[in-house]
Amino acid sequence: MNKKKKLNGNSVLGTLAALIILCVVLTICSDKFLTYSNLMSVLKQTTFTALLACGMLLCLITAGIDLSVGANATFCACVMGMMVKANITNPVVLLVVALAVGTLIGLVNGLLLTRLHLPHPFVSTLGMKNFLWGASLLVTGSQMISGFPKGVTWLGSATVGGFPVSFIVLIVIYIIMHILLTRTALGRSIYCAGGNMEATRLSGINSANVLTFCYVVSGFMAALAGIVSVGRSGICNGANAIQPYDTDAIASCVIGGASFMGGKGTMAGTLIGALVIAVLRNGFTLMAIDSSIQNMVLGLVIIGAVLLDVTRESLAAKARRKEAAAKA
Amino acid sequence: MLKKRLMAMLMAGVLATTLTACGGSSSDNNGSGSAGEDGDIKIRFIMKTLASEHWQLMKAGAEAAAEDLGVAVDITGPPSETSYDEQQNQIETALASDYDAYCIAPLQSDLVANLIAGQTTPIIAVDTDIDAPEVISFVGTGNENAAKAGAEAAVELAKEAGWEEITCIEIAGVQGDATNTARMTGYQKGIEESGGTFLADEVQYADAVADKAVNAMEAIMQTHPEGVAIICANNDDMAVAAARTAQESGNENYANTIFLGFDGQITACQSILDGQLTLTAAQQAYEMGYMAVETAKKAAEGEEVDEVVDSGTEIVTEDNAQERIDRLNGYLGE
Repeated sequence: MNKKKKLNGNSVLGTLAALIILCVVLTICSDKFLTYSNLMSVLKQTTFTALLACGMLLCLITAGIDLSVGANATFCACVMGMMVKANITNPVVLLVVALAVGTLIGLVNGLLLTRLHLPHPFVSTLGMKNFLWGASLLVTGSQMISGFPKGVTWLGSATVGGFPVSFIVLIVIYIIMHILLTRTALGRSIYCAGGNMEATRLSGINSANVLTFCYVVSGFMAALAGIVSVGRSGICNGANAIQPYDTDAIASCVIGGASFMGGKGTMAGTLIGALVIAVLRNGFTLMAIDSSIQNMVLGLVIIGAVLLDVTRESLAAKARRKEAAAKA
Repeated sequence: MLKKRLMAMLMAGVLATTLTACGGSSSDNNGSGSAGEDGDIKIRFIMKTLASEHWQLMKAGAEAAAEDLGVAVDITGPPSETSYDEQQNQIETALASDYDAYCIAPLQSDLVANLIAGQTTPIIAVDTDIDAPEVISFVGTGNENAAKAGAEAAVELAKEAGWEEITCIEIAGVQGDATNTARMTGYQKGIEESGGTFLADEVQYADAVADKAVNAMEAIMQTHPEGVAIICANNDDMAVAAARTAQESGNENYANTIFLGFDGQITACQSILDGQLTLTAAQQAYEMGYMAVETAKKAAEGEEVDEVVDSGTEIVTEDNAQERIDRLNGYLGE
C-alpha cells in the first residue's frame, strides 16, 4: 500500500515538473505569458476542462470512460438557453434544472452500464453523446442563444481581485473529491472496482452502485462545466456538443497519471494535467500559432505522457520481479 | 430476477418512447416535407447542414418558394458542416433517385464536381459555387464577397469612432475549412482595400466556437494592451463572445473597438442592440433558399436561367438590427 502511494506521488511530481518546464519555456518565448492577467485567464480556461476531467477520472479509475461529458455540458447549457428563450429567467430555477438534467443523464449512463449490462461504457456513452448532440440542437431550435441572467453567468465570469471564482470552486471540488477518493470506503471501492471487478464483487462491495455513482458524478460535473461555459461566453449553441471536449478531459486525466486499464489516477495529477493543456493552448494563442501545429503538439504531448506512464509502469514491474526473485 | 427483468423492460420502454417521440418531432421540424402537394416538378435540395440558423432560414425560404410556385422540394443536410462523408452519401443517393432538378450547397465543392460529372438533370449550386460544366447556375453571394463588404463597412465605422491607425485582427474558424478560408480572404481584401492593416500573422483560430473565441480575445488583449481598431470573427458566436469578453475586461482601449461578426443571426442582432457587437455581415439565407428553388423550377421547365443569381448581402448595424430580428422571426414562424 505504501509503495503504491509513493508511486502515485512520483507520477504527480513528474507531471508537475513538466508543467513548470512548460511555463518556463513559454515565459522565454513570450513576454506576455508571465503576467497576472494572463495567468488568470489560464485558470479560467482550465476550469471547464478540469470539471469534465474530474468526472472522467472517476470513470477511468473504474476502467470505464464517459464520452458524453462534453455533449452533456453543452446540453445543460442549451436547456438553460431554451428556458431563457421561454422567458424563464429566475437564475435559481435555471441552475437547479441544469444540474438536475446533467446528473440525470449521468444516472442513465450508469444504469445502462450496470442494470442493462451494456458491454463497455465506450459504446453507451458514445451513443449518449450523439443523442445529446441532437437534443441540444432540438431544444435550441438550432439557434445560438444569449441573454442569460447575471445569476447564471456569475459562476463563469465573476472574479475576486482578478482571481476567477470558478477556479476557487474548482479547487474546493477537487479537495472534496480527493478526500472522497483517498479517505473514504466509497473511494477505495472505486479504485477496487477498477482493479478487479469480480474480486470487488466477491468481497461484498456493491460494485454496480459504485459504478453508477461514478457516472452520476460525471454527469453532475458536466452540468457544472456547462454553467461555467455559459458564464464565460455568454451564449450557448447546440452545434458545440460535437466539439472534442471529452478528448481534452481524457488527456488531462492521462497526463495526470490515470490509465485506461483502471485502478490508477489522482485528483492532483488530473488538475495538473488540465493545467498543462490550458497552458499549452494559452501559449499557442499568445503566439498566434497555426491550428495545424497546435494539434500536432497536443497530440505529441498526449502520446508522450502515456509513453512515460507505460515506461514507468514496466520499470516498476521489473523492480518488483527482481525483488521477488531476490527473496526466493 | 423478476425485479431486474421488469426494470430492464421499463427502461427499454422509456428509451423506445423517447426515441419515437424525438423521431416524431424531428421529422416535423426537419421534415424533408414535400410542400407542393400535386406539383409535377420535384426538386432535391441538399444543404451543408440543417443544424444552424443560417440553414434553417434557407430551408424556410426554400419551403416558401415551393409553396408559392407549386413544386415539391425534398430538403436534407448532414449533421454538421464538417460531415463531408455524410453529404457525399446524400448527394450520391439523391442523384440516383428521380428528380427534375437539384440544388446543392457543397461542403467540398471539388468533391461535388466529381460526383455530378456527366449528369444531365439541371444542377444549381447554392451558397458556395461548384466549378463544373454540369452546374447551370450559382445562387448566392459567396462568403468572400459578403466578408469583404462587412470589412469595408467596419473600416468606415472605425474611422467614425476616431481610430487613426486602423489595424484588424481576425478570430477565425476551423483552419483548412473552405468557408473559413473564403471569409478570411474577404476580410483581408476588404480591410486592405479601404486603407486598413490586416494583421495576417496574428490570426487566431478558435474553431468557430464561442468559448475558444473568449480565450483568443483574452490573448489579443494581452498582446495588444493598446487596443485594436477592428476585431473580425468568422461567425456570430465568436464575435459576440469576443465583444462580451472585451467589455467585461474593462480595458478602456477596447471601448471603441469595432466588432464584426458574420451571419446576421438573431442573437447577434440583439447583441448589436445591446451595444456589444458593432456589426455583422449577413448573407440572405432565406432569399437564397427561395431563389434557388425558383431557379431550379425554371431550369426544370427548360427555361434559360442566369449563370449567377445574386441573393444579396446585408450589413447589420444598430440602424437595422431590430428590423432584421423581426423579419427573421417572421420567416422562422416564431
